[in-house]
Amino acid sequence: MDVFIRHLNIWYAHCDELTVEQAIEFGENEIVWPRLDFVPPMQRRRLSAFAKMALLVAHNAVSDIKKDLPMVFSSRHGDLPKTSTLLADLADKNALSPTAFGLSVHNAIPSLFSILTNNKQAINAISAGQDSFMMALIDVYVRLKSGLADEILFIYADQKLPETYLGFQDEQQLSHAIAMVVSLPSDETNMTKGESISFNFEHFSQSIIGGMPASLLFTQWYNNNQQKTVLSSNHYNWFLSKHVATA
Amino acid sequence: MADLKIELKQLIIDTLDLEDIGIDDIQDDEALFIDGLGLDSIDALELGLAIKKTYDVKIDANSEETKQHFSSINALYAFVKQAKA
Repeated sequence: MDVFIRHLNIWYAHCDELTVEQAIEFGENEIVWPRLDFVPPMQRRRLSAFAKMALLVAHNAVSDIKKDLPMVFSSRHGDLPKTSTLLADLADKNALSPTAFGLSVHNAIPSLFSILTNNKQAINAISAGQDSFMMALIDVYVRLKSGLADEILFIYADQKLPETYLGFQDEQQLSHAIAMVVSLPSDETNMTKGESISFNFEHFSQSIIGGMPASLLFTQWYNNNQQKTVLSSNHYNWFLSKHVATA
Repeated sequence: MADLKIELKQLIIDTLDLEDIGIDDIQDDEALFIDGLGLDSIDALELGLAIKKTYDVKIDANSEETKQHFSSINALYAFVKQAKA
């Protein structure tokens, strides 16, 4: 499977100063979430931290693109701080906040983005455990290959697990969001700034605990000089390679 | 009972995360929804829930009267005062 990726951008707390490893080490005590100046105040007031970081990277990824792109959104846990609060309210037999409930569905983020940008293109929302990032990339590839779309906005977000769930963590925790614009490689994309990559996978059962999420590993690899890499999850090995430009 | 009006305004600001709005920005006779303050239908549900919780009053979700009760601070004030009496 071959795709061309451009405008990849990532947000995590202090991403201007800290590497991903340093940010994980640093912890998340005093996070300043993105301000989102492009969102009108009456709409901004309802956005959670999760929504803010995801909408920021989505906005940055398409800032110089004139047409409306279909979207694929992926997140392993979704807006879990919000969902877990709702679940706690249910358990305590409290009434649920209509606002929180309305924005707790998995496709809330791309839907908010579609409202804010008046984009009426199709949206998919995906979650697939440790493979959430790579499986969503497959969904992007399938949509491109089907001919229904030339370019797709891919948004990925995950927030550090809330206290209640930290005991179940099997990956390092860092609140982060990634967005990029994906198309099929072509003569045209050869002339554009970005990276053409190939990826495939094999089924492989293994126990992977304490690794870095694939979304972060992928972004690191995309930005470094390494031509190939392998991302491993509990169920798959993902083989990634960058296309080498032929002179 | 002017305090209850201020209390209601603060409740609206806190419940609906109106970051940039202060108590003095909400007029007693101004429309809360659409015109005036510009709240929407989700705000109505959220505010209904908060009023119910805070003042332990019953609110009929679909009645025309309820719409009236939530039309302005003055109307909300009269409703809560009467319901609590």
